[in-house]
Amino acid sequence: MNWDLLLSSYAGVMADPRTVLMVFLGAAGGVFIGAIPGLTATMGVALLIPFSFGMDLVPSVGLLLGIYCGAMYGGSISAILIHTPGTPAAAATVMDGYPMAQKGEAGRALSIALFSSFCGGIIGAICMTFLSPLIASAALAFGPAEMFMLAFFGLSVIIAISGKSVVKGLMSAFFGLLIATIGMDKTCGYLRFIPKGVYGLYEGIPFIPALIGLFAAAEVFSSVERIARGEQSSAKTTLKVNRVLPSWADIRTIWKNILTGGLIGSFIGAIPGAGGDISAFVSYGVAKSTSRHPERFGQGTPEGVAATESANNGCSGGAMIPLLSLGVPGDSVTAILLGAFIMKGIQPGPMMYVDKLDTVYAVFAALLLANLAMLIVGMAGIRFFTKIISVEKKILLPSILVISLVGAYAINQNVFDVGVALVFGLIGYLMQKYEFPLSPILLTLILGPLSESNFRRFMQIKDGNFFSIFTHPICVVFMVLSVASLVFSVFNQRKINRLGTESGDGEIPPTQEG
Amino acid sequence: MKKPRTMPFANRVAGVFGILIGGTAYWMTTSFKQFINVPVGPEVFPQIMSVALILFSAILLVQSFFTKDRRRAPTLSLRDKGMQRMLMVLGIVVLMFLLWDTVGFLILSPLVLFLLMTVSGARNWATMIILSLGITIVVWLLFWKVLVIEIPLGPLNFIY
Repeated sequence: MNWDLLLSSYAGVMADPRTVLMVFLGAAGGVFIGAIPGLTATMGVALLIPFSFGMDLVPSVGLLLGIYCGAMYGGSISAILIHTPGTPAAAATVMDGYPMAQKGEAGRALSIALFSSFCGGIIGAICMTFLSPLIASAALAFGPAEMFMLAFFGLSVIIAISGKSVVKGLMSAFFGLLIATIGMDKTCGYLRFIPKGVYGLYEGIPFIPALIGLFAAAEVFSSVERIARGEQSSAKTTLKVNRVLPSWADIRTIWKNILTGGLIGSFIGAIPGAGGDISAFVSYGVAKSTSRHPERFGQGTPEGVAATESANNGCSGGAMIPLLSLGVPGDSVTAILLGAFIMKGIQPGPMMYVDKLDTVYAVFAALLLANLAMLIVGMAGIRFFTKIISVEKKILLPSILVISLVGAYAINQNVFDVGVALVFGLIGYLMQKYEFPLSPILLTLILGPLSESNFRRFMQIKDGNFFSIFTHPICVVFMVLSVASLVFSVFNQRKINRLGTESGDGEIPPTQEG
Repeated sequence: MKKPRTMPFANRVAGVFGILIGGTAYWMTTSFKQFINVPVGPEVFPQIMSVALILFSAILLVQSFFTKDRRRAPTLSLRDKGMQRMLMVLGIVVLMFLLWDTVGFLILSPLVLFLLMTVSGARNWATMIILSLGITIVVWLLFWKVLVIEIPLGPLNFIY
């Protein structure tokens, strides 16, 4: 490593006012875009690419990285405050972030999400700086078999996110895996389960409208019902935010989750085709499996928020690794960044580390700066964000519903997606009502197509010989990890059930009047 | 007086529903095209998932007969005030979906917001009118000018 060049590149980026300004503008825009359900980091980066045409490479990449990092954190704001992940990467944050907000700890949850996102992003950036060649070669070893086992490992956290009833969690998961097969089968091009003329489902269930329906619409339906019955107050909540960063006591509790999440995010982010959503769920599963208090997960524990947010932001650094060292984008955002590099006459890849090492280091520095900008913008905004839930419910709920439906429309600019969001809203409402967890559906909608297409590709290559998967060392590692994750999850679930029985949870009084 | 339903009863219904969904999906896969030289055809994954869904639905069904849980199940009765409000909200947004292209956002959204606020229990008419119009215009301008997304405006489409 050329330390002199590294330090001078870092200093150059940090001292360039144009780059600093662009990174901060990008981070502010990213936080805003990420917080609106339906708008993703990819969309934000794609929207602002034309603005970067006239800039030099480093400020333009800084602007785009600012949006990327900002949107990753922004997604958690709506996940925590209104039970709707702003981006798919924040889907796992709902599980503990929203219960924290319900307990009157919205400010604490947001500050933990912000701090964890920042630390996760820094871990990702450090991994990118020092481990790029190593991780890139490992990422390149991922073929269909390895991708299938990665998806299988991701699915192994289902029990951990199933809540009280594992059977109901597994029913949700298999229902999700089943509906994930709707649409055109990627291997043979065969249409499955599609009624004639329903073109909107050819590409499968549109994921973001489904996410908006399951979380935003379902939550609004349930809240309206509860308010009408008098089970929930419609009055505004007054929330005082005393601090914009977590307390030392919180940091002492979450630092292990942040570290693990950041590393998981960096590694999974480096694998082309896997991103922040998968890494957040995997990190959540690992955090719950290794926690001394697994029973607190899903009830609003800071560890859950820290694990997911550090992992999805760790991905930003991870996804840059194959982009810079191999010229292969790690996710859709880095695919657009690849275009930005090429437009500036730079071809990312191994030769970039030989010919343009100063540019590589400048990009590393821009990513670090983007995370710092996200932290500052986030700190400045926490008090403002928490005002959202201070609005009266009878005004807030209709606004959330309409804005979410516009978000569902915006992703493909197709009114069919609004219908999908409403159907999933109804499904989510009924599932929530009868205590079926929603997160397994979301996880399986992400991982179902990934696991099926890679499994079938692998079987096609190996002519149907499944057992050759044991000759792939990475697959064996993932198999061991999956088994360990399942064993830990089952063990934890038994512990949770035992604690629930001891505390008398088995005899909960009637929930509502019939 | 009708006896209130318990959670085990609701689980039984959910179990039967799961078996029906899984069974229907499996039956549909039997008519999928068979491909030559494809070791894992398009029917295999849905079949595995259908069988797994049926299996766990059956487990829930059996469990429901042996559980000591006696909690009252949430109702779906149309006589319930909460259900009525929820169905009103659903009806309004379904109407919004159906009229999305023809009536357009600028006309539809303030009406929908106003109706939803009324159903949610708001009664401060002046504030409700101002907010319905304000939120609509801010969201529309934001999507159009900042995010370059044109939401259909129906008869007002000439604005774009």
